[in-house]
Amino acid sequence: MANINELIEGWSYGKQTAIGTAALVAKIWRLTNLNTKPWAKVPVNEDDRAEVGKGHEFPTALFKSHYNMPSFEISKYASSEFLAWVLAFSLGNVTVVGSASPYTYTIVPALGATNATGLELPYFSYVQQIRPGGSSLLDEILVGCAVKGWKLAIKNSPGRASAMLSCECVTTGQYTSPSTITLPAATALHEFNAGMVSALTINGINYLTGGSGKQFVSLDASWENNFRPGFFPGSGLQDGYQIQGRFEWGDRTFAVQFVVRVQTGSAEYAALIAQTVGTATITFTRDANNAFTMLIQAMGFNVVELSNTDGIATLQVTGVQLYDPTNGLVTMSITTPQGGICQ
Amino acid sequence: MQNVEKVHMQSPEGEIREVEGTTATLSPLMVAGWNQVPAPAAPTAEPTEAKEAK
Repeated sequence: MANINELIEGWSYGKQTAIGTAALVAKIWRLTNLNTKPWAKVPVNEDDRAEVGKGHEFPTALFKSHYNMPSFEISKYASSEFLAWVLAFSLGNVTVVGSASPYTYTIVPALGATNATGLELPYFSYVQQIRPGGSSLLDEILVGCAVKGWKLAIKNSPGRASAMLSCECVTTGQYTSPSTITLPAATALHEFNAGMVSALTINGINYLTGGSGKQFVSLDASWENNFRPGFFPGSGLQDGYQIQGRFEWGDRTFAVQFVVRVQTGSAEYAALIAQTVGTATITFTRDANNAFTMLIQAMGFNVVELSNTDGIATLQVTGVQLYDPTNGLVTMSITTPQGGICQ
Repeated sequence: MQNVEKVHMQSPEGEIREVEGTTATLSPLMVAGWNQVPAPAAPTAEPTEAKEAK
């Protein structure tokens, strides 16, 4: 018996060299997670109830099928380290600048035509333990994990919860137990909050200064890789159960919605009617070593809907992000003290 | 003026170029399929004995 608070988690900030090869222990950090559930393993058995010839309709035997690994959420307050990690592993095309701390990561969505691993993103390893050691309740490393999608939520509330980042992860079913890994001390993260927004301009409307200053309420951005199932001839076995041997992205989606207060001369309706397209930039600056910028290269408005947010008349705006032939869809830039992310 | 660090990028065709490590420079290259590569090893000086043998 153990309290779930005893669960400790770690995952690799460095990428695996192959989907079936665990990351180096030296590249695994220990972090906390607001999701209180461990990552479950679900081996699936099948039976012979559908087979005729037994003389009756009842099953008589069990057969090993596959590991049906559920997705797993890592939910955290947005920090420079976690942003760099989530965005690097979910978008795939990463350039890191800097030979010493701080490092600046430029990240864009990988394209299948030029990505060295085709439609596959970098893989990481995940460790979960309860009382690791000789009498552990739980001690395993899951190998071949990938980031399926993420959600970034920026709210008009105080504290760390005003900037949240969660990601959904998948894994092949391959694992080693016990992991025999001694996780390091928890990494100290450099977290952001909404008060640190230092640039916020969407489609030509500056929500920090000028006539639209103080009018911004919240923003939600999300990414989904829509992975295809990874079972195929030769994808592998764990404990005699089939496991997945690849996670290839499908039709990826990038969604952005935001809420602003209505005021005289609100420009959002006019931008929608005129089909105005422009860049969208949101920047968090904590200090010289910790910053994050999301630069959407071409954004128009799909829906601008009059609404009510906590008694204030607001506009809920749904953006449509267009692919620019030169600059692509979106560019993420993160400056953080943590090196080696996705390297 | 701040000294901008440089990185080495390789095109899909194999060309390697040293560029400024700014988002404005990197983003269009990455979208065009360029990937970061390690800096090429500096050419080593030919040993003196080998030069004399020639």
